[in-house]
Parts: sequence; structure tokens; C-alpha cells
Amino acid sequence: MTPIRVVIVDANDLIRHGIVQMIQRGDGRITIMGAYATLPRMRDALRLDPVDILLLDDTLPTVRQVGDLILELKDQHPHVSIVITSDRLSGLYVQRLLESGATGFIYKFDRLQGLLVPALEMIRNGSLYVSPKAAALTYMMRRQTNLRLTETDRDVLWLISEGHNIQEIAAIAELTTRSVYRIREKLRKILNVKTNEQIVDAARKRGLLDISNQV
Amino acid sequence: MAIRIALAADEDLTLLGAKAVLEREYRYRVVGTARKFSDLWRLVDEQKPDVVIVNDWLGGMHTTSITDKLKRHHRRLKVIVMSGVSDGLFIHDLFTAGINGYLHKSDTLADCLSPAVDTVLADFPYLSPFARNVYIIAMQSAKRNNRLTSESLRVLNLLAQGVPIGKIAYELGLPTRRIYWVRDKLRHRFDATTNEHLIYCAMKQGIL
Repeated sequence: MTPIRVVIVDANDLIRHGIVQMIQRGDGRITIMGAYATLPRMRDALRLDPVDILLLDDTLPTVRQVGDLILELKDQHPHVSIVITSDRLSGLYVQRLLESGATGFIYKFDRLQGLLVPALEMIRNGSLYVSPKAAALTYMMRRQTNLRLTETDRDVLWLISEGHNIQEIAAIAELTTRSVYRIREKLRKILNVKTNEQIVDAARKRGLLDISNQV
Repeated sequence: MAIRIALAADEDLTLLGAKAVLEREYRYRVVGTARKFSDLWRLVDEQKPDVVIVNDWLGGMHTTSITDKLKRHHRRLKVIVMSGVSDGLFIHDLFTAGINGYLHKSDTLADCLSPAVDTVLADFPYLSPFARNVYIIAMQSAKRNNRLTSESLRVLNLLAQGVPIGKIAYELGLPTRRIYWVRDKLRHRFDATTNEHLIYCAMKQGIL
């Protein structure tokens, strides 16, 4: 079987070295076509050589909207599977990336020894791959979503975390203060917490609140 | 004799990468790697490294606590922290807690590791280029003396768990007035308007 051709792009050079080391333990099943720190060099590499999988770090300094970048890359290189490597653990974020066309998501804090090479093989064979912790969180988030969390609820959650008071939230979200109180109560119930402070912490832990930039 | 280095990080990728970079130089010997504090503790006890390079929040433990525990029992040990926190005040707090070097993850760490190890072993502090910049900026700010002490960190953690002020005071054995004062100082430091906002800001900076 021909080796899987992989390009790595990651702003953190230690992580880049780490990925290379981990892949090189894969008995030649994977060929690293290049490991880069910036997008322009990665784009050149994709143009020059056929590539099966792109491991794309979402913290690259020039990347503001990872989702848009995925769409653009998929448009230019439809045969390349894009796998996002990230230190952001949010079910909502993972879901949005997959909807944008990413084929996989690797959470950098997952135990990846022995996982990375089989994961890349799965992706080459046409499967989606989400590393264990991120997969668990995405599953939990879907379960939470089933617990009747609407877009308005999410907006209120976001505004609470931003430090707005009830009146401000009502004005921004175009709701009555009574509705905001009701939604806050609902959030407490869904997240199974007693105080407003706990809402932010619990929402983040369950992947309902993304504390980094939006996709 | 080779300089003995212990590595500790939550990420396998960072551990592998740092090990590969350091072992390119014959002067360094990586005596072991750890993914949680208990393993690091054992590693330091058994292998007696000269330098520990540790990622922040190892196994969910705050870096100041890690440094404090290591330094209390191994005074000559040099501690270098790798972190993504870009808050100069936080870096200042870590140096006050006893770290010897700070590497910011946005810097080219493969190039910084060797000078960092050599500098801290020569008993000088080391800051990677980006960390140096944010540190200098923070030292010009009016908040430079608003330190994150172990007391304020405990209050912050308890607030994030939703513990009311009265109960925090009871748990920490402090007057309620003191807890309000610490909370106000925390809000001032993070430019936060409410407790929820404070928790959010602390999370965003990687402190919670």
C-alpha cells in the first residue's frame, strides 16, 4: 500500500517536532511531505506535490476564521483531507469545524502516543476522526443540545460570560428582562448548578461556551 | 558532564518535540518525562535533574503551586515554564513564586530551549522574546503590584465553583471583608465588571 502523504502546519515548533517524531514511528506507513510554521509555505507545498492529509494548527497567527480557511482549502484542493490540531476543547467548535469540511479534529492534550498513525490511516480510508477527549465532549454537547438549548439561550450564556447584567443582556438580545431571568434559570437547571458564577465554568466544561475566537 | 533535564507537559507532542530538540545537543540529557505532577515529583526525586522544563497547568495544577512544591524540596533545581499565557503580570507572579525561566509558546521554542537552560544555570532569569515584551509592558502598568497570590487564586477558584463569599471566608478562615477585598482586587486586575466576567477573563488568560 502506498504511504499516506502528510503536510504539517503548526505555529508551535515543539509541537511540529513532536508530530514528526510520532509519525516517524509509524514504520514508513506515512510520508511527511513537509512541516511548516506558516500558511504561505504550506500553500506552496500543496500546490507542488500531491498530498493526502493536511494537519492544520488552528492557532496560526494569520488565521482568524478557521472555518473559512477550511472551505477555501477544500475548494482549491478537494482531495486533501484536512485535520485540525487544536488546544481548544469545545464541542461546539469541533462541530462547526466538521460542518466546514474538516475530516478530523485532534485535541493536542489527548494522549496521542500510538493514536496518531492509526487516526491518519482511518482518515485516508474515508472516515472522520475526532480524538478521544474532543469526541467525548462533542457527544456530551449533543446531549446537552437535546436538552432544549436554543440559539437565544446560547446568546444569553455568551452575554453572561461577557459580564453583562440582566438589563444589558435584555437590551442586546432584544428580550424582556423577564425572559432573560427565565433563560438564566433554565441554564442553571440544564447545567445543574446553583449560582450564576458556576454557569460560566460549567458551560465551558461541557463545551457549550467557547472561550476563544469564533470559528 | 551532561546537563540533566526533566520534561513535564500534558501534551505528548510537546514532550516528544522538546526531547528531540534538546537531544540534538550532546550537552543535554533528558532524564525523563512526566505527564502529571506526581510523576514529575518522583522523577525529580529519583533522577535529580539540574533543570525542569514544565508546561503550565500540568495535570490541572497551577504553575505557582508546582513551582512552590518543587522549590521547597529541591532548592537548587531550576524551573523553566512553557506557557501560552500572554499576561506580563502573570509572568511577574511566576518569577516571584520562584521560576527561573519563562518560554512563551508563540516564540520559536526550538531556538529558545538551549539559551534558556544555559541562562538559568548561570543563575540569571530567562524570558523568551515575546514574554520579555509583555513583561516589560506589564511592568509599566499601574497594576504591576496587583499580584495573583495563592490566596487570590484560591478565592478565584472557589468563586468559579460558585461558592458564596461567606462560605469562601469560612473555608479559608478569613473575614468576609477580606474576601470582598480580594475579589475587588481580582476584578480590577482582570478589568472585570461582574464575578461571571471575572471567571471568564481568568479562563481566557489560561489562569483558571
